Amino acid sequence: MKKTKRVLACLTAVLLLGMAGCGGGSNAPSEGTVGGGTGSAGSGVTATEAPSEEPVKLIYFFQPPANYQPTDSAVLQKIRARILEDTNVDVEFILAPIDNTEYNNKLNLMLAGGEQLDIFLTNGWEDLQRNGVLADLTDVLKEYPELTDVFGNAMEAMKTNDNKIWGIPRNGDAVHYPVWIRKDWLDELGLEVPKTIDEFETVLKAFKENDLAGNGKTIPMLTSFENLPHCLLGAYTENGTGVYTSPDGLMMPFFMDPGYKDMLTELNDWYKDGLIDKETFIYKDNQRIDLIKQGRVGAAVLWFSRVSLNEQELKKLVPEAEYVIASLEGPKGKAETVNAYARFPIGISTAPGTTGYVISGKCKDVDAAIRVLNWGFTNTGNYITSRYGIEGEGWQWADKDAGVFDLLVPQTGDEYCMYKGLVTEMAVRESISPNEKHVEYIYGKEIVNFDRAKYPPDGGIHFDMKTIYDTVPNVSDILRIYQEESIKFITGARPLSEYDAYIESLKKSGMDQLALEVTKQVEAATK
Amino acid sequence: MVPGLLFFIIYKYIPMLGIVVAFKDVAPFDGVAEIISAPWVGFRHFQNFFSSVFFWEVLHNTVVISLLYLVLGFPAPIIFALVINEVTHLRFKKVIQTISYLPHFLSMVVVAGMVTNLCSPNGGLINAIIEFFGGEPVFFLGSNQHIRGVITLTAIWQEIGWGSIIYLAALTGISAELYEAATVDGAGRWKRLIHITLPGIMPIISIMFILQIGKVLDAGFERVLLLYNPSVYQNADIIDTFVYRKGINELQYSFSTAVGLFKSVIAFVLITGTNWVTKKLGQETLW
Repeated sequence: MKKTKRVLACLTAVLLLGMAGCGGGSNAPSEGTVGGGTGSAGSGVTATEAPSEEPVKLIYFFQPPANYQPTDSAVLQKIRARILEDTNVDVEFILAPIDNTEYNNKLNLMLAGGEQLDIFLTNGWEDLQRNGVLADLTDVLKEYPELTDVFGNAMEAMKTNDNKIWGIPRNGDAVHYPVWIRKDWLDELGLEVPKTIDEFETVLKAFKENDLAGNGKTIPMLTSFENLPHCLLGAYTENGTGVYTSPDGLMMPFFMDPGYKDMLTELNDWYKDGLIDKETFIYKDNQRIDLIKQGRVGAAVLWFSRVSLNEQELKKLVPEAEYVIASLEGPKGKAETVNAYARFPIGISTAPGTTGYVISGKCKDVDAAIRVLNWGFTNTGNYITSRYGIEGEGWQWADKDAGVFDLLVPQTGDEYCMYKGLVTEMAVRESISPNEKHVEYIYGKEIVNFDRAKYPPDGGIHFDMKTIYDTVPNVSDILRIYQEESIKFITGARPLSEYDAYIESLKKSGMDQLALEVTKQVEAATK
Repeated sequence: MVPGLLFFIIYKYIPMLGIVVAFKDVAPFDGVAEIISAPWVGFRHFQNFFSSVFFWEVLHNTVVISLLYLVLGFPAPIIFALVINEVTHLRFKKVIQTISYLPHFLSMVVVAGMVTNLCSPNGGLINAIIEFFGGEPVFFLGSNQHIRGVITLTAIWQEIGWGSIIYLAALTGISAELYEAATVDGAGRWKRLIHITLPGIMPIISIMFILQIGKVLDAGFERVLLLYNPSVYQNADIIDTFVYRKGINELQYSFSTAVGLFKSVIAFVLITGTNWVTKKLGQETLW
């Protein structure tokens, strides 16, 4: 009996020790941090004062690019050492999912679980700020005027109404949503690049009938629900994905425009005719990328980098494959909408908000985090180093004034590149890029070719989302109804004759109150 | 017994204190301190949930999918156990049992991947068979009409073997003399099943039934999460997936806790009620 008690006591002790040990485990970061924003093509060294004290350890949550290949660990160690040398910050990265929804889920879970995450990219900083997750950068950024100057007006999109700054912008206004078409398929069929929606439909039908991918595997058009309106809606509505103004002067989300139904009707016809992939709305981003790389997709109506970062890989399979941009027009004008950096976010993406690099409110040294961001954003050499390694080993200047450099290593994973974004990527390019299409799009400034698209009327306005959520508590219901029912209308799961009933359901969820609040805020901002 | 008690106290009872999150406005990025200092909002989150256009849809889906599993999935392992029990070839019996258990050990992610591929309208095996016989491919995972069937059948396929173990064990406890006596009296296979086998395992069936009722609002979160998509939220979105999206995607922790608590209260009422009814019917109960 005594022996039994002793055994039980030992087991209990082991159990308790085990439970204590399990709590609060930190992630073993897998090297590298990704960040991206725009930086000026400055050449000044930004090794800010790095006092000879204990280095600060920071964690970066790295979302891999669409064509991610892990970087050689020796190269990663050198990049990490260089950042440490210049900034006295030892940066480690945690690898996040590529898919945006999965990325946000994991981010939210890690933040709620108290994991150390100091620097991360978010496409909805406003929600995180309202929940008290973010560090206020206003005072710290005063010490880094070069960093804030680099972004110009885009900084406004990272501020709350009290003028406090909560992050570093990734982009400014840009055109991110082209319609990519396989030029080689068009040439084979003797077709021109379509300029109108009707011509686009003709092309899709030709792709389907001729099955150029073979074995019935051709996908005439691939898209995602989040990207689709930005690429095509402008052809059917006055403002594309910008706020819609009703005849009585009320402003509301774009999907209340009567023209939205016209787009759904057209897409429903295309879906029934097999011109749109049946599973297009259920794929994850990495699955869409795989389909593009397999050479099955005729038209990719998607965020630009799904194609631009993967065309090179596709060419290994199909050497003559090439995607070009089709600038389409419809009854109401240009199909694409400019992705204004500050704008009304409801309906814009599944996680509505502005994209930027933010610092966690739990970061023990916010100044160190800003120091690291400043290192890469304000010095193009450092930006390139964060991607490809040490100058002279991973890369070297070919034409420093033009921002052209020779790549001396194969493509890397960009694990330490916390500086990707409009400014940095427009400032420099590889002389021979592993992703030529991507370089053409950004360095070639196609990404700011605003002639291609419509500018939303709410562009440049930063909305007070807290007031909107307080005034209309069921905003998320509105968003969900919009998303679910739109997909059903397109796939035919719900007949378009029920469109009015759908509009009624939006109104029952608070659309009228939302419209009043949006109108109020737009009028206040444009006074 | 002490380690077991400690396990339950630490992992089951102490976390119950987190229920307060449902009655406060909490964004738990500051951990327990945030939960303690957050303001009380009473039943606001419950009111928001009940007034949401999706309340009835979510509740309806949860109950329907659970009932489907109860009606189809509860008898399936019993029937399977009864059938296996009739097999006389020992080696064959063991092989079938082993094969039937295997899906239980597969990760849900693997199972969902297999089901997605099988049901794909672009080259999936099931649609290939349909097309071979002259039919049109069906987008099972994108169709509100079919999604519940897919979820239920996936659950049955995965658990039928494992679930039959307990019934097979119960069957071995039935005295062979009863079967001999029945055979002497002229009872055929079917009559022996109805009058000896089923009554013999009825205590186990009733206990398992009560436990299953307690899980009636647990419509298989992981399975639904991996198989559903926005096209089929109307018929496949259950309380747990709703809570997951609200809590994790939209950072509405308090709201999602309130919804989860609502579900737990309903489940508690159901299990208590079923236990009482079963006692009245003279069968084995949990307490």
